[in-house]
Amino acid sequence: MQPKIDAPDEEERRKLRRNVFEITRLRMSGQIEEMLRYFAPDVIVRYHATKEGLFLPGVLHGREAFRENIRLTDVDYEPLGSEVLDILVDGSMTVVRWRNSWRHRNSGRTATMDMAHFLSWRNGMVIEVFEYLDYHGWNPFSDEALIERD
Amino acid sequence: MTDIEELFTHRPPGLERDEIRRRLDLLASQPAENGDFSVIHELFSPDVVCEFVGDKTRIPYAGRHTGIDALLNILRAINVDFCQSEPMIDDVVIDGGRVALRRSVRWRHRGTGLEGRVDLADFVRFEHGLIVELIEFRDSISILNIQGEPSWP
Repeated sequence: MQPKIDAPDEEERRKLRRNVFEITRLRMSGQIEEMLRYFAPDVIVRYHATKEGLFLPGVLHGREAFRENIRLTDVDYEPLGSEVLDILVDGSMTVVRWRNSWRHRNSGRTATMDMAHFLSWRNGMVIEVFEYLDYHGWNPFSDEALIERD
Repeated sequence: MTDIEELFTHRPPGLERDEIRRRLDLLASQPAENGDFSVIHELFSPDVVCEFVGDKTRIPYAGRHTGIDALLNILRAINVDFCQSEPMIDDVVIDGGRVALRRSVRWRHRGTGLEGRVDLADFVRFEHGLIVELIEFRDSISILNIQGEPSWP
C-alpha cells in the first residue's frame, strides 16, 4: 500500500519546518520570550565557526544563559531583516540556513551574516543547538547583501 | 524552451540514503594524503555551483563559483597552503536530495606551522547521483589565526 501524502510522519516534518521558520522570525523581530518557548529549559547551545566578533564563543547551558546571551547581543546590535534560504528535516534533527543583517547601535555600521543552525528536537522543544556563521564583511562592498527590516 | 515547472522543481537525488552517506564520507575525507582530488570528478556535476561563506576581502575564495574546475582550483589552492588531516563527521542530516553535514578537520599551515581543528558545516544537494550545489561554512577566524593573520579587522 502506498503511504498517504499526509501520513503522520510528513505532518510532523511540516510542523518542524514551520517551527524552525517561526524561530527565525521571532528572533529577528525581537520577540525573544515567544521564541524561547521552543527551547527546553536545559537546552545546550554550542557556538561553532566564528569565535569572536559579534557573538560570544563557547557553549551555553540552559535557557536562561541563552536568553542572557541574546540580551547582551541586542544591547549592542539591532536586528534588521532576514531571509530563510533552506530548511532540512531528518527525524528529530532540523537545519536552517539563513541570512540576517544587523546594525551596531553605536557606530551605525551594518553587517550581514549567513548562519546555519542545527536544532535537535525532543517532545516539541529544541534540546541542543549547533550554530555556524560567517560574515559578509565590514566593508561597503558587503552592503549589497544587506537585508533591511520589513 | 525551458519548462517553467522544471525550473522550480528539484530533480531527484538518484541515490539511496546509504549511498548518499557513503559519498559524504568520501567527500569529508578530501583531499587524499597524496593531494589526489580525482574523486571530485566522481562526486560532482561538471556545472556544480559552490559557495564558500565569508568575507571576500579576507578569504580569497569566499563567494559563489560555478563549475567543477573552479571548485578544484579552490581545493588545490587550499591544499598548497594547508595540510588537512583527521577528518571527523559529527552529524549528517538527509532530507531527500538535500544534505547538511557538521564536521571538523585538523588544518596545519605549511608556512607558519601553526595548526588547529577547524569546524565546518556543509550543505550539499544531489541530483541524478551527482552533487550540483555545495555551500560551506568554515571557521574563518581559526583559519586566519593558523595562517598567522589577525583574526579580527
